[in-house]
Amino acid sequence: MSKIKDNQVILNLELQLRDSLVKLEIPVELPFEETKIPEFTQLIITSFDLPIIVEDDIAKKLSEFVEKENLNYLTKIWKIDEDNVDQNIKVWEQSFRDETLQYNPPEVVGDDEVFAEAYHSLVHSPMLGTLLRKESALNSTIREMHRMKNQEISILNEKQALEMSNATSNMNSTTTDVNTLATIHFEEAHMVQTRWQSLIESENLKQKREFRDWVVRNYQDYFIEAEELSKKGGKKKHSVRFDESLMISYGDEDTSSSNTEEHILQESFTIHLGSQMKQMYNIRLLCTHPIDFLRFRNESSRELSPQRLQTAISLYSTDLSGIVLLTSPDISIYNGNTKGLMELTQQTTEFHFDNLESQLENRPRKLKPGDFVVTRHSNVNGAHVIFHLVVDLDALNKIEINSRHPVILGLRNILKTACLNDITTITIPALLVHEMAEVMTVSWCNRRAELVYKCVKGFMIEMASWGGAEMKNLQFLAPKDISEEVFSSLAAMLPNIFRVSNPLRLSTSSSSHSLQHQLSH
Amino acid sequence: MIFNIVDREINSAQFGVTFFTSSQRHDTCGTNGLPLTPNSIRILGRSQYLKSLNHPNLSQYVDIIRGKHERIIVVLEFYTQNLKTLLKTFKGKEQHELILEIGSQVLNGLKFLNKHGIVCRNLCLENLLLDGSGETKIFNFGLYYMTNNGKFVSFPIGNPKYTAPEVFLSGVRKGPSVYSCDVWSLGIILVELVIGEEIWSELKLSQVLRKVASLTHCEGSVFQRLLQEHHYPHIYTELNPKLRDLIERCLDINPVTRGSPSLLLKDLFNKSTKASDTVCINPFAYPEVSVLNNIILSSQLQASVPANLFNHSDTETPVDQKAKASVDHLLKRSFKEIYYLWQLAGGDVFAELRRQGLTRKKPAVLSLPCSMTLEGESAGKISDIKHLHLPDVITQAAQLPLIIREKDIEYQFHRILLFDRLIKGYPYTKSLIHRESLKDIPPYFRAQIWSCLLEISGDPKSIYNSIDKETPTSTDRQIEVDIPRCHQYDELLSSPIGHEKFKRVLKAWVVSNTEYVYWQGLDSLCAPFLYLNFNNEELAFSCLSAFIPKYLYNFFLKDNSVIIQEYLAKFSQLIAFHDPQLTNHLDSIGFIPELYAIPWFLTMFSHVFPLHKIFHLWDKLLLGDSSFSLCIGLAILYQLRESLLCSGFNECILLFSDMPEISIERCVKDSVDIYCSTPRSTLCRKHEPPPKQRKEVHRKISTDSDFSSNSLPNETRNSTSDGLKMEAIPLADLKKEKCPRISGEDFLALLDLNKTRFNKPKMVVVDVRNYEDYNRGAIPTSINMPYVSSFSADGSLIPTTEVNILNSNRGKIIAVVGNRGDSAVKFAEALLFLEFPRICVLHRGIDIFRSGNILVVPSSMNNL
Repeated sequence: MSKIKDNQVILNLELQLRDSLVKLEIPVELPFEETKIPEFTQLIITSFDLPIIVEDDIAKKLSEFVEKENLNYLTKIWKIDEDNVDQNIKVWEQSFRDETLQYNPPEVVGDDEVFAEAYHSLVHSPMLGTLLRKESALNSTIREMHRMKNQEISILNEKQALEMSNATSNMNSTTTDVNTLATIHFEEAHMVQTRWQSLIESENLKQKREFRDWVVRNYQDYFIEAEELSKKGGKKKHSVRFDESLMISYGDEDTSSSNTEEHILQESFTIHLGSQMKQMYNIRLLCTHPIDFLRFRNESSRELSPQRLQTAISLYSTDLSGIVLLTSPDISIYNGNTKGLMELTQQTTEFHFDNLESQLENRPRKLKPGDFVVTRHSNVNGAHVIFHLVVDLDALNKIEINSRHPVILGLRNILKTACLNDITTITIPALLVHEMAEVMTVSWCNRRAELVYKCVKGFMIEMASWGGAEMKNLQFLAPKDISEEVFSSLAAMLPNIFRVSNPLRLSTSSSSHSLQHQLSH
Repeated sequence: MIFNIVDREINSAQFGVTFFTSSQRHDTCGTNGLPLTPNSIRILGRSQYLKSLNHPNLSQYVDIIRGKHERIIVVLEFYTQNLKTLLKTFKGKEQHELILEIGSQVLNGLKFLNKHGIVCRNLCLENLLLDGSGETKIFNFGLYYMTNNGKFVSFPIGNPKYTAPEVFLSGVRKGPSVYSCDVWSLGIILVELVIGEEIWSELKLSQVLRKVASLTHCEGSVFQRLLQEHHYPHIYTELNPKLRDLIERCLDINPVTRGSPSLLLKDLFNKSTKASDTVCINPFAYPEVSVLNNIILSSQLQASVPANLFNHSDTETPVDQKAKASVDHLLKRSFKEIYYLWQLAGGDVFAELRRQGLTRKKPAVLSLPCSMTLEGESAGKISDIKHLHLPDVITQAAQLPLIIREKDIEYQFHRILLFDRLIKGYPYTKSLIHRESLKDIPPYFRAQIWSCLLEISGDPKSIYNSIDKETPTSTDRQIEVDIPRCHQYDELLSSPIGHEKFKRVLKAWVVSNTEYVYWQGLDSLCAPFLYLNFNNEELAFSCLSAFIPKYLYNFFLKDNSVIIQEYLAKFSQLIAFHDPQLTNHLDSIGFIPELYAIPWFLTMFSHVFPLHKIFHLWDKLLLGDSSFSLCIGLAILYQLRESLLCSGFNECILLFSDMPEISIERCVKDSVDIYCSTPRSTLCRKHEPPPKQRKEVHRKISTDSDFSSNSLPNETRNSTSDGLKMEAIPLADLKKEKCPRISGEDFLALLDLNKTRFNKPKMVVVDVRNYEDYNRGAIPTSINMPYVSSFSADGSLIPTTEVNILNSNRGKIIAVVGNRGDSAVKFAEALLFLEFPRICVLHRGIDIFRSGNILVVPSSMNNL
């Protein structure tokens, strides 16, 4: 017992053995848990080699000692702090106010939430068809306006081209005249653009308001009234009509368009991760540009698109989809992928969230590689949430990166955010680029993909401790223009890295299906 | 003060549910480089202990569930009546006796808690429930404890009005608290009861806090001051002196002189330790209920349950009454059982909470942050999800559905009742438990049944207590490295408390088995026992200690190579016996069991499978002996057979490096089949557990009906000659031989000369001696295929009548009988190469039958 720690006290035990009085000094660490007394008693007996007869005696003395010393110790710790009484009470008050429901009744439910509740309920009711048709009708109005705008612009362009060629061919006109004409043309075109722009924008606003009112109203009619009626014992007023329009057909008229649809290289796997407890995930690799990925396909005005249906059903659920979009630090809607995204989202009215531009306005002013901005969407395909991950695109193409690179760390933050916010499907650029460039040799692609795969796998394993949702689907996007050879090597890497442990097997009567192998193109 | 279950409210077992969110941890790693354990898991681990507490004045913890987003849901015993709802009725002098009784009951409950190292810190009127018989029960008493004294949550615990002044005055600190702070809360509660109204009901939060703090400067009696404030000064004098004394003592400003609950009880109620304070002595920590009562009840149930309990049809009027009666019985079961059955019947706490709109959460898409920097700082989180604590949200969630539909619930209920009685009768019911376990083991009692099957007896607790688990040893480091990698997908085992218990049990084993060493894998072996006996370390330890000598005898010796090699050699022979094709393939690529099967057997597959699969596997393993695991190994190979057959060495290594999913149900079934169709002597090993134990095991196996197929000899023969018995073969020989040897005993049993057992012969006997020897005397029904002349140069059989017999009997056991030389072994291997299954060699050859009168002259045989 050379040195005594702060929280140690010495227990002096005096025991009457047959003919002698034994004195023991035993250091006891405080606070001592009462439940450990029997065990500690045994420890004393064995370490001092005492006869078992003293067991009860020691236990009794020990428990008295512990009771006394624990009290002393705790009183010391919980000493009244006379100087800061006021301060302490304020802190307590604050903490009760902030953290307990008793003193902090839940916030008043916001409009967004009311709408979300209404929409979610309608989407999961027989009203679904009506709702989607409503959306579809509004969407086609906007599309029609876009068509008219484009038509007007092209007519104008023709007219202006004619005028310009007349002007230039006319020997009399001077350079000044031509310049003036060009200015006039420009202004005319600008006028048309702006006029349509504001028309569409006001239509967007109008539609959004109309749609939201419509949803809330229908929700009230349909649910609240039905509830009240059923309380009174009546039956539901609204009989449910089978909605034929919901039968989404991949009808004949679609075949023509789907034929023109480009074929996408893709491959998917089902993997089991984990050493004892296997968790199942789907992994998919596909070759496409993210903006193309986000575009609704096979849409016709007459039929409801299955993709839209999917997006709508899961929008307010706990199974969201997200995509990682690489962007430069300025995230400008006038160039790069963001521009493409902007055009895409303008195709139809965003009924649920602010438009992309104003969502992006909220971002912090200064962004550096590894940061990301989140935007939410209801009118793009395959993603409700877009993570705009800031990267230095030029540098990223050239250099070799490692797992400590900011982009990888940003990817980890994205996966964590996704996990904590019920995003269960996420799409990630496999090479951390969206377009191919000269420098990207086959070996470069392989190395880069390996890094991304391995890091993502690590994050997935780590995810278990984050306490959020389980990631269910993991999709990797490879640039559209990679060669088939590179694609197949990227695909072959997936089962290896994600430990699809069974080698490829082509037998049909297998007992364990760790791997489903599909190749479609 | 027996926990009176008969008076429980009829027709509704009620469970209270409280829930809260634990604080999210910052995104860092621990010193060992592993990610930190989320707070919710830490809470879950700590709270298990609460489930083991049983006291008449505490409401029983039934379940603790970890939800998504760090939410913790706690299910407890609940009663609608509490002191708050009844507050008005306490007004008046005549109620003082009752109030005093309540005070003493609460103190009893608190004393019990203190003895178990728990401070409540959460006493208030609402948290004191009254059951039907007038017993006061402290509700939600474990919140402070399970959150590690409030450290794992961001909200403050306790109701400000009842909190002792020293708590507020010493600053917002979280940590162990003095026991007497609960006594203060009780004091305030008693004051409220006495005056029949709540104090300070008009005051705002800040005023309440200040009020409590100001009491420290109160001159004279706090009690009197409170009475005056609320205009009841006269009560002070009217009051029962004992009650007045109690309140005065409770409201002592000084936490040291205030005294602990046990001191108050001693001083005021003259109660020293009472019988009801002791925790259950039953080593299985079975919920403490009146045993006698229960047995009577369950026997009644036996009578009425099978047909009627879950019969919910309205048409059958005659049974209605009976059904009703049995429903009442159901409610007489312990809370844990009712809850378990409720869950089986489809009860879901989450759904219940959702239904009552208590877990309303903003849709995920609306609560995403706007952006996040590289350092992980998120900006502009749209909805600031607060970690709100809902202090007393109580739902009467579990109105036990009287219509319980599914058959298996009825079955489970039946099984629970049955095993309940059997376990109470242990050890006298040992054989009955074993027999019933053959059918299945109900999950509810798995921990107890396993202990019974492992024949735990004596006083595990004092044995465990006497083992020194504190003193550092040389294996500590390895244990500490292994534990955070062992079955960590499980919430309990990954919690810090789980780790601590893990470490203690492993250390205890290492310390108490000095002849053995800690091999990696012991941690996995310990995991199922610890999981099942989480609140009962000593039982986990006892099970582990009993399991290892029975199934892994000497596997944990410092030099265990001989034992393991013998085991693996036997495994190879077992594969050869049942699957020659696989053996030939694996031999050809050199993929030997040493490369993959060591962790299987060293951990009895607990390293390979997740816990829920281990449970099913071990349910059967515990009924068999140590050779059963060989059969499990083969059953696993069966499932991978196809991949193995078409894989080369590298693919095989890769395949086993990360075990693919195995269907455990099939695996269990296959291994039982294999076990039953393998003659016991072919599995005989030199390093088996000592015979005493083995005999016992053997006897047990032979009594069971499922396990011994009729192809197995199961009566112990009074053999005159020891030559018929199996004896272990030296390892070097064993490794040389590809086919197992069969003993004379098993041989005779399978041969079944008197045709008493089988209608058709189960075995083909091939005599490989030369023609002359054969004709001089041979085993009846045997065929003669001399080794020297049976095979052509390329290894195939030269066609003869005997070969035809052999071919037509393919699938039966082929016993190769030879002389002293190795011709029989060689012959067997040649047959194996031709993919004949089930080949074995008669141990010690034909000579063993010379003394008996078994051998006959073949020519006379043909004449018969």
